[in-house]
Amino acid sequence: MTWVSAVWTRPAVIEIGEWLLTVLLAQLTLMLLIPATNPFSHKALSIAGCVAMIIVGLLCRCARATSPVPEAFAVVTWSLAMAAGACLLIVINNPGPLDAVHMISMGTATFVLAVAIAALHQRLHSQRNNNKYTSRGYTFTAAVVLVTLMPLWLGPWLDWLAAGELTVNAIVAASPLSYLAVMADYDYLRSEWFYQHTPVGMLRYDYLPKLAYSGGWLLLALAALAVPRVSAWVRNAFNFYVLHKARH
Amino acid sequence: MRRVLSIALVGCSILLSANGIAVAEPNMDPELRNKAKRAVDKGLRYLREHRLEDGSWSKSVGVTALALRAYLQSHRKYDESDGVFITAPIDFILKHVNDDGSIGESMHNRNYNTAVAITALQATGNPKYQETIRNAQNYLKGLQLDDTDGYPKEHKYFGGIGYGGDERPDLSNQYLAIEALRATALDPKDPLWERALVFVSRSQNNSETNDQEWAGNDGGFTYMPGYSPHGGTGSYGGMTHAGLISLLFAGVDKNDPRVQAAYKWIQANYTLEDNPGAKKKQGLFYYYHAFAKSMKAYAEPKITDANGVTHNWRNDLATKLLSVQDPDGAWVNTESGRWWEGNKDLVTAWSVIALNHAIND
Repeated sequence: MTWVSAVWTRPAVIEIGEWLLTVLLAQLTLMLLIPATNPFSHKALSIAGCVAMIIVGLLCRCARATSPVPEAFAVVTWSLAMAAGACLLIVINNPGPLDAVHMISMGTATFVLAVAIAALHQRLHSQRNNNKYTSRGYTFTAAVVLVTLMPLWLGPWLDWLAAGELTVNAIVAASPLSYLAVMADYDYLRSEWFYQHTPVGMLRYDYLPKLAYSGGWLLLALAALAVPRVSAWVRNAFNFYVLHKARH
Repeated sequence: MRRVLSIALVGCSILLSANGIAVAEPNMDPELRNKAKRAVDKGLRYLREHRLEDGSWSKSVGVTALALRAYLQSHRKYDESDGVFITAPIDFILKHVNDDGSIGESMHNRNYNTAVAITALQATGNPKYQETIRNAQNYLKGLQLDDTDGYPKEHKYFGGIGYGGDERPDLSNQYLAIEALRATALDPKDPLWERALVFVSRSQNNSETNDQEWAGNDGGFTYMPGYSPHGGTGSYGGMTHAGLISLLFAGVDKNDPRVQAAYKWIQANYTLEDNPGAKKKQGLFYYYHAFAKSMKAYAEPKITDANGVTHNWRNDLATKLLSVQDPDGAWVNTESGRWWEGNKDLVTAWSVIALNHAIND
């Protein structure tokens, strides 16, 4: 039995086990939120799968207080795992024939979003007061959910204030759902559920092009990852300047 | 000379009347018709001044196609020989023809854009657009949901067409597709019509002909089976006129119970002060636009309301639209921006098209 326990305690096996658990929890969340007689098309289900994977993955990530690997590597591997999980959920929830282009698009979008979200999340890790890491992580997850659902809860206000096209477009663009929808070639704001729950689908709006969305989220990720390096560089430069001045 | 002609005409009328031959009453008050023509000219002038460099209005294929249609079907009978104000919008539309046959500038509204684009291209009367129109027809036909999309006949989506792509169908998009396919002479025996009628019938509050449990009995139509954006499953003006157009253009007889039920709802809720059954002033100009088209298609110059009062719908519509036209010639919904009614280009195009239907017998 020693070799069995040796295998089970290997970091790679633990990682795979945790990933499978995340996929399972994401699938359970979908089953809980979407009724059996769901009116959703397979594209809508794909988008829901990607969102569920990222949010559940983020919650599981919050539960882990520390990460033993360097942060950029950790962000990329976690994001790849989320993308793979999203693709698995798409396969599970789509009874029809698989569309490879759709799978690649959704996998890419999930990866890009996960990189941006994980990079931002990683920033919490580098803050002081590490014992609050987990609670801050849950607050961060709640913020991600709020931003994702912005067209839903801000919709009535946009309608009531007769918001201009630019404002509506900005709100729509900020939601990760819009990025996933554009990659799926699916106008989610006019899907039955969203149309009935937010007036945004009744206003004038436009989605950004696919490249603009991908570029924007990647830039956000790079910026989040670069912050500690840039701040360290600025701090060193400042210290060097102060020291240099003191000597002279 | 004019006086002599007038006297001769009056004389002829008296003689014909005296002999028991009825003289056709004009469909619209002549003085009002002239005023409406002037309002159309002002509206078209507004549109001309607000056309963008790329030939479009509001950078939208849909709005551009509607504005183009407003010109082509106006009493001025404009055509491509009249100049760049007609050819530039056509070029803009043609620049946005996609490989799949759809016409549009973005991933959404593809049904709406394609439908109004081919209706406008057809109105040019130019045969060189026929290939584009045929391809677009096939695209629209492909949007209709049926068994092959996973929606069997029992499903409430069956036979419906939505905004385009993968979204749920609704009666508004359905009627625009039906209007476009009818205007571009799709074969009346095409199975699309029969399937379309299943969806249209399921959007009507008429339990006699609607197999959905929620169906009421006032005869009006709602946005989609079981849902109205104005609450519950209530019927409202914009959709009831869209439903009536859909039935008539899909080949349903005027005496069919669905048509008669819809017409009864229109009689019972006859008004041009608001979009009956809708919240506040939402969708008001959409209502005027659909009202003009359905009344024209129903082909009765007068309508009797629930109080027994007979109305000349052309006069009523023109009077109302004239009263709400801005001094610059535009129309806009100042109380609700839903469904783009805050966009002056769109609302002006709709209003001109509505007046064109009233003016042209």
